Amino acid sequence: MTYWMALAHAEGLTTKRKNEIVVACFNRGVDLDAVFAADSNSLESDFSIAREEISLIYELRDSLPKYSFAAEDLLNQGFRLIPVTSSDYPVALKKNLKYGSPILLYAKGDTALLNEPSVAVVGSRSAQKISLEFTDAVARSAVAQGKVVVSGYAKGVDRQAFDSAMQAGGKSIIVLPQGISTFGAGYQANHRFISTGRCLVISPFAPTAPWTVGFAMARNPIIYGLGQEIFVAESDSKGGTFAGVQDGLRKKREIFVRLPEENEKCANLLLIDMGAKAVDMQGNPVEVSSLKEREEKLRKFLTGHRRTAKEIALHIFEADDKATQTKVRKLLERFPEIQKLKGSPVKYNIPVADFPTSLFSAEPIQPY
Amino acid sequence: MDKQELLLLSNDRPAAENILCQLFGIPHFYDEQWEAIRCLLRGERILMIQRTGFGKSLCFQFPAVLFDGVTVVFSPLIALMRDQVRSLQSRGIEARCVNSEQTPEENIQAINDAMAGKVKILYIAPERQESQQWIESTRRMRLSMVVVDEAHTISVWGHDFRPSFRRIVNLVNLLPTGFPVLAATATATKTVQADIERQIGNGITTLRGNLMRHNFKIHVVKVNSEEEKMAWLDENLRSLPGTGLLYTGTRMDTDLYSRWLRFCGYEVAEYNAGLDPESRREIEHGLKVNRWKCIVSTNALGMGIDKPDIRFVIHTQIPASPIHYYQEIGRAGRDGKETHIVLLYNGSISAKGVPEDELLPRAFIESARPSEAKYREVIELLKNDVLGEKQIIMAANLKMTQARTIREDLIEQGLIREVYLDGRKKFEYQFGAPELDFTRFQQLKEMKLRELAAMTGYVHTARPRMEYLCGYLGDSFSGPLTGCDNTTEPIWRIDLSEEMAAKIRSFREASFPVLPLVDPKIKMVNGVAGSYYGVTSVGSVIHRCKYENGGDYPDNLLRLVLKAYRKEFGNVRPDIVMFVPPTKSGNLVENFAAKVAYVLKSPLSTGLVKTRQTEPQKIFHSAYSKKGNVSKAFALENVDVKGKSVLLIDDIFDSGATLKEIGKLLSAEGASLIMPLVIAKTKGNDNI
Repeated sequence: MTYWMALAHAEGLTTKRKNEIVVACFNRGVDLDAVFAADSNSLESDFSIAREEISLIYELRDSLPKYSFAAEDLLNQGFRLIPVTSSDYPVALKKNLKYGSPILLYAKGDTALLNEPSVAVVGSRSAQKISLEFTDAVARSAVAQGKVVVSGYAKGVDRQAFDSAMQAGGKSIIVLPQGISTFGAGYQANHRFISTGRCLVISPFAPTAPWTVGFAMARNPIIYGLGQEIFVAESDSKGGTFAGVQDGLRKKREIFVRLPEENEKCANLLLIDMGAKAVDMQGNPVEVSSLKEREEKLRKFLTGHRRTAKEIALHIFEADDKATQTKVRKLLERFPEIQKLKGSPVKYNIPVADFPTSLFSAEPIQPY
Repeated sequence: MDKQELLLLSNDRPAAENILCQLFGIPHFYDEQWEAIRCLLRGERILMIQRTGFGKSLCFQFPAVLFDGVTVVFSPLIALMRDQVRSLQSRGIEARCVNSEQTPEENIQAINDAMAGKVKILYIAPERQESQQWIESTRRMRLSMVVVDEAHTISVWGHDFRPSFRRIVNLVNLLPTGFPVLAATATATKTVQADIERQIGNGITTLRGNLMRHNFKIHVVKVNSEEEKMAWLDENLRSLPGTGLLYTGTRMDTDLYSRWLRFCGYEVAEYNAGLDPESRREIEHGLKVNRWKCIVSTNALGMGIDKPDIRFVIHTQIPASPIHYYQEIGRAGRDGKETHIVLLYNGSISAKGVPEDELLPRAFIESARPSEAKYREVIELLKNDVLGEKQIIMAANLKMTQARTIREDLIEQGLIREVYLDGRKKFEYQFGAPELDFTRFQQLKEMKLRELAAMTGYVHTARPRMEYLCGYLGDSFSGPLTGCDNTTEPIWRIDLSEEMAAKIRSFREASFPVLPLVDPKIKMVNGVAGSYYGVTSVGSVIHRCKYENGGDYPDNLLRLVLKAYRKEFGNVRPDIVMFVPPTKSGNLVENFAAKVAYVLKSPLSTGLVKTRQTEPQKIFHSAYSKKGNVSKAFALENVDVKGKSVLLIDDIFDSGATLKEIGKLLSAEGASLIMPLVIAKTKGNDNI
């Protein structure tokens, strides 16, 4: 474990390089300690270590004894150290992150959870009530299907996902945005869940490292990578969740995003437009094409025409009662191109010249 | 030196001895020393079993000086650390130590110096591996070698297993290959040796030396009573040359024998685990400069004292095993000169059907572990929550020693772990924990009984005694052996004269147990008891009065207690006599105190009262719980103690928590002096 810790926390080597060194060992059928025992020629020829990296490996070699002390301390406290070559290491993570997989995970609890069917639930720290309800439903349904809920234990959606999974009698993996040995209050609070194998806490970071924004961002790919299914309760148009989903979509992951209510302020629709799958409050897929058709119908109805809410309601929803009219008014607010014309009754209209091609590109996509 | 240079030196003994001469002023290594040093210079792992006085320290000190970086020496022997650091410093070799006897500032300074690369050898107590601060510091140190001193303590099969060494073994196993490790001990049987080899593993080389000590004159003196032991000491200690150690079985006995020897006119000092570091250092220093004829001590202490000329070691109680015995006598005569080794053994058969002197070791073996129910209770507690030591003690009503035993067993069997939550040490039940295996405890118990039988075997053997001991440790040898009462030495006996018996009686009558309560903060001095509870008939008399409606405490107890009072406090007349109000109804103590007050012609006050109901202290097993039971439970009514001396009376002294609590109150109310006086002091507490 000493060797793994030294390599995992080596500065000056990218995660990709670290994985390449691990693979070189694997291909030669040797353990990682062989790298540290090798001379400079062997490092170059057998482990494809670049010349300028050799002094780095030597520095690591000198640092080994101190990692022994740190490793002993962690193991003594019951933490598990899981190298990327271990059979406990989550297969899903390797499959999803490839050479971006952390080469060492620290864990507390039942590490078998890492390779059980799983669902990641993510979302904003300051999520609305409806998103928390969605999270609760998705987590409970995952538990009912015997799946492990993966989350980050942050405020909002993360915490709801964990709490719901525990309340439903299920299992959960917490991916920390900090070192594994800095989660004291969390271990105390969740002792029963951890000791009975229902909660597993993991971290890829240096064990005593405190929380940072960088770590919080860096652990998102691990949450996405661990989840065989990914559910997004609520996303802003920037921040960790949004960036994480974008990253996941780039990697061709299937990501389920809660279809927002018509008056909601969030970027869920934007993500759906980018290729995420819309789901209803129970997490079941929703046919979004009908939604798009409806919007097209609305645009057509208003472009170049002035209509009352009552007329729109009748046209779109085939009903003109008060409730439907209110729904229509809220819906209309979400279309910036629709003009509201004063008068009695109020009328709505889309000027012909300003008509954009799609609602969804109206908001510029902000890369993380 | 770099790796290449070290490798070259490991093949060049003359060059190494040149350096040795410059650094240590010694011309040559012993062959066995060089063998070990050679291996360490090559980055190998060594288990070294060599007798005390062989020169084990040089085997790591020499390479440590040559290595780049700091060598960490784990040693449980604080006195040894101190001496070695001093001696290395005097040779210009930078060494430091970290242990519980130094102030936190001194320890931090030592660690900082090591981090700054200023230190070659850092001695550290194994318990320090439990400190997060230390672990954190090691991240910034350049480490060159790890030494595990007294390595037999890493084996549960060893005679002195220390749980904190378990962590040292784990650490050694995580050290990279090519990193030198030396494990050293003077006492390891073949079983322990195999266990250490298995635990440290990784191609460890064992270098076993000859454990025979030829300079010992060994005797076993068979006696028929405690009085005969006392008599033998009085009559013979004078004629033993030099100064030495007297080991007793319990703290109570160190108290008894030191008082007895002083009574007989000897200069002695008492040494036990209850002493503060300063007194301990003072006594160790006094031992070195031969201030006393002997130090009376429990066996736990005196290890690692760097005094080559301890001329005798006497035991008043058989140790638990031949290994313990070899270890304890091994502290003497390291200079190779004639040294006397005496074991006083009372083999008369006790009421329980076993020899008197086996009672104590058997009791230790029997009570080594709390009941199964206590284990289960702690397991249940820890399944529900992560708790600290104090919380466990309070919740399960355990003695501190019981709590520690349970905790270590649970850790050892993998049920719980020691964790740090926000810097606090706590204990956590583990996922996937196995069921507790009680059969293991039975095995350990049986092993201890076998060892005790082997120790009794030593008493009765007709073989040369050193051969018996070394044979038990796994040494093989040939040739004639001399130097003991089974070979060339005379057999020593004792006949108890009437005169001596009378001397012992008068000593006994004039000696009273001290109550260690002195606390200048609360104007309290050490108290005194009339007797030990359970040693004389005093205990049964108290029991009859207290629990069997036997009436008031009789006047012979009054006479005894007054005698104790005069012995401890002289002719001081207290300004006021007070008594501890009873837990349950009854006025035994009040009536007794009234009589004491009458005799001393001091007024009796009934003004000390309880503000709330308390439970009898004896139902609580830890000092924490006892303290909690009586905390703020007392008040004064209609009495003024300002500027007055108070005689505070109770019947039985247990932990002292009640008297201390009352002392706090009286002192806050302005009492000028508080003198505690009780009828009997119990033997049983956490620190036998």
